[in-house]
Amino acid sequence: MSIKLRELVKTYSSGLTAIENISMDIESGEVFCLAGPNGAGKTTLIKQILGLLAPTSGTIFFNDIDVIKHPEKLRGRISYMPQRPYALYHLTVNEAILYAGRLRGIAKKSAQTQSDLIIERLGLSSHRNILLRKLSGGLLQLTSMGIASIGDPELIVLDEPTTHLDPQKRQIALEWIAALGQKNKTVIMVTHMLTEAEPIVDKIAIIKKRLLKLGTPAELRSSIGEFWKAKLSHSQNLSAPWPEECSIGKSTPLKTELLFPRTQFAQVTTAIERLLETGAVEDVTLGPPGLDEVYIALNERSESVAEVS
Amino acid sequence: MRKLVKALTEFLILLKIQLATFRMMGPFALMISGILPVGMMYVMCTFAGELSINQAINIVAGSMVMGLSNTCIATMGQIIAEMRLTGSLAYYATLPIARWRFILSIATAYLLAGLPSMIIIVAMAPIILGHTLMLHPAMLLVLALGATALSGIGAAIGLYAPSPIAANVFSLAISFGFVFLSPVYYPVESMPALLGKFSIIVPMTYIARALRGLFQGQTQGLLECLAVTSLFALVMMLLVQNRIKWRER
Repeated sequence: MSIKLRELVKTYSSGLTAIENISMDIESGEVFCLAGPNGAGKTTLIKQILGLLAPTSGTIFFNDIDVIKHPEKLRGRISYMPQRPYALYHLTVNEAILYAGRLRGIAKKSAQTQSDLIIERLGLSSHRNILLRKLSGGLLQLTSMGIASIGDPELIVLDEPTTHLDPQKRQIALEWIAALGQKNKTVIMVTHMLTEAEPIVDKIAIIKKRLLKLGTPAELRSSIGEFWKAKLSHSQNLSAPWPEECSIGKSTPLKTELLFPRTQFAQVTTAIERLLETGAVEDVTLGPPGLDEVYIALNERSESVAEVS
Repeated sequence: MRKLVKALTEFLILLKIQLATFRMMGPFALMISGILPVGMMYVMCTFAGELSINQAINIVAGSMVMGLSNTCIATMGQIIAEMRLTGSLAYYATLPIARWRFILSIATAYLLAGLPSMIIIVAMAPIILGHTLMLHPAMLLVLALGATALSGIGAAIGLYAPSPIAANVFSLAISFGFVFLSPVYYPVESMPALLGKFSIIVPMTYIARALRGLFQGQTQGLLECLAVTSLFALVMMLLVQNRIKWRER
């Protein structure tokens, strides 16, 4: 199922514009990542794609189905599960996945077989008879993923599927999403964790009301130019005079992440060497940036463009 | 035939999901739903003094319609509005299910949960009101059709209200308004002429009339009440299926 969005605009009756002229294509079997800061319009865009929210203008096509005119034609072909599956909150893990399958029109025996398989693959076997409302946040998210996956939906939309997961469960979740893509399911996942999602993602869209960047992880990385990342460990607050082109990434009082263009390599490394000599910096790691840093850089650029205009 | 089986299966699964919400409330909900109407019946009886059989029937039938209205309009309105807020409605909207069966499953779940309280009302009537009331299996049909007719109103309120609190206020106002402005606790003859005319278009009128007749063991006029309630139910479910939009505005 390929999805084509053209010149989508959503302005709410309050006058708030959530989406400004977004156009993009999502190909069949793609694991597509939608990222953006809070309030960027991700949920609005997802709801529009699912036919749950009418855009102010623009078009959305699923293959040849006009989603805006015939949203009902998507039902059964798409699957969506919000972060918290409140709709099935009072059911056990097994019941929730089984009933979700049954409501998708699967016969009882087949739905139970699929449910058993999903429970096993997602590592939920010891929780199969526990009520969803009694599960921890991470287990609830895995169950939510199982609910969204049962049946044969062509498009699966997952809202921040890895947010509350520990590293082991996160790995299970990412492998599960990758396997869905290999089965030619189109998966749209909303996430802020780009670096960890990178191995399974085919394409990423970064939005902030409008589309900031769309492409493969490699294309996104190259779009910000030749950048380097330095991770500095220090024992006290660091106030170094970095060149203007540098941007500070994730930082704590004892750790600083610095993103800088290749053209500034000599100046920045000289400055770091000085800090190492004086003991202000204790350790440093240099390398190419991860997608999280790319995301931060693109976001900062859009803010500076907005300020100028 | 296959379509009918599919529809019934879908309804039963939706009903199971809705009934599961009572796992949390358990016996406490049953106690509250039983004690409240019995308490109300007792208070009304205390103020009214000694009751004739007709007055007793009016109070019991009225209490049942009041309970039905609260469940299918007020509770339904709030549930649907909360489902919108939590994203549950968005989940159901992506499923290949019929909207009217979804709405009806919620109404049925709450109706089933409310049945013990209705049984308690009838069982306690001889002690509190001093009269034994007759029971008739057709009462279940009346309640089921009544629930179908009223739940469409609750669903519409839940879908269009700006928030769950607003849905609660609107649905309670409409529920109480309909109950007190129509011949639910008293016969139509004792109402002002204008209200009497208005009551013709209120489904509670026919539900209460049918129940009153059945409590006396009379089936005269029952068919007419069932036909009108069925018509209301059909119209409401057609509106739910075809007119009410799940899509946000």
